[in-house]
Amino acid sequence: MAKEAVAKIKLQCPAGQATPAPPVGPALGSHGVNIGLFVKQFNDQTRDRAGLIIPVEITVYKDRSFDFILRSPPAAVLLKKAAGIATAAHTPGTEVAGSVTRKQVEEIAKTKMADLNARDLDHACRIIEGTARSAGIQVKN
Amino acid sequence: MTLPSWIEVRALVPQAWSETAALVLGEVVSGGAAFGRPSLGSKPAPSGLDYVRLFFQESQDSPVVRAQIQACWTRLGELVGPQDWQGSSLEYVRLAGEDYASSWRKDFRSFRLGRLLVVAPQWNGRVKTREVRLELEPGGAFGTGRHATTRGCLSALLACLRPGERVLDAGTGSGILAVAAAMLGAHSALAFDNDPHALPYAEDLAQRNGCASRCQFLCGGFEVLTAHAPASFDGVLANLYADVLVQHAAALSRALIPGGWFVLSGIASGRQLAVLAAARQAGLDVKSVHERGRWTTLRGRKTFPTPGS
Repeated sequence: MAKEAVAKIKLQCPAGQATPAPPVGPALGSHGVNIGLFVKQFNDQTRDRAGLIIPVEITVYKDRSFDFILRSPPAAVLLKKAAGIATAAHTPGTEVAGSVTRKQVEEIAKTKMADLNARDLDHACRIIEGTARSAGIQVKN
Repeated sequence: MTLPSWIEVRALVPQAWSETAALVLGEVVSGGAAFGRPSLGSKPAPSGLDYVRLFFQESQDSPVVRAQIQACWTRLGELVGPQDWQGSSLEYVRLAGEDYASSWRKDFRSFRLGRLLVVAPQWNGRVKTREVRLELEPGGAFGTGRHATTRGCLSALLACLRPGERVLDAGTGSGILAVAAAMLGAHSALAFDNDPHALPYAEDLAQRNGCASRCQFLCGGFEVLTAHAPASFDGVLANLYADVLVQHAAALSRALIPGGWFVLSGIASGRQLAVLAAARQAGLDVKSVHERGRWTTLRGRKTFPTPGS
């Protein structure tokens, strides 16, 4: 059947643990989307990534049906993976949790380019570096 | 049971930094984030900015929590830099307690088409004598049954179907047309869809409405018809796209008995003539054209073979 999209909703939800509570409920409820069904399908598809926050983009159609795609992991997740650490610094600014190279930052910026909506690669790199600083990850040359 | 109220942390930040904003503010407010304007009625974010919204229960609100959020906000501003930070703002909005698991249903209204009544599972209104009650879990990947094309097909089904007929539903989606056919008196309904997600939903719909034994759902495209002899069906429903209808008009015609009825839908305005031409060439005689909004549904009958041909 032909479908007409009326909204695109972007969320970040905990893998395998989304619930109808906020942020899901208020974001989808106003569009009349079957929240329970979204939660079930999202959790089914992300259960194997427990512990991660997963960005998801939901398309809502005129008949209130929906589908969704899972986006690339947040930059912080990619940075932690590149730095080989499990958790970010608890007190960024004073504590150093790990480090990444500029080349790794550039690779992550390229991966995230479509999601970041950055002006260019330099802008995307600056955003990734900012995310690294906020997680207590040093960027080395 | 008292439902918890929520505090929404509503940040307006440069669009490119929205993910970082969710990360930084998420150090205090965990549980995920929403992006984009807060509601259908609110104004979109100014150009270059985006809303990032995080939530925590009101019972956890305190000056300490707000001070922590403010500290994160200040740090985020330093990361972004003064030039890009212009126009950014942070506010708190209280959301009254709501049962989000079920409140989305409030806008779903049951609807009647002839003697067919389509309702949500919790509906407890009155079913009139001779009315057929079709229970549909609204939403999901396959809609609420209210789409103009679905309604066009249901109306046509009510007009065309005779008891005991064998019906084909091409591109079944939710399964609503096949299930409606079975509930309205069809002997059997064969339905197929190339979306593997459709089948469990359609099978559940048939089960829920007590007609699973007369509905068969197959995963696949028109190739599933090769397992069936030509002229295996008394009626054919195809709620698809115009291009697909044009491409497969001959297959639909082959599946029908001579004189059998057909319903073609999912035809957007401007594509009607192409479908009409394909139908005619396939021996499908369009008797009537029905328009709902920008969607068209065609009804008709398969022509009888000319003697000697």
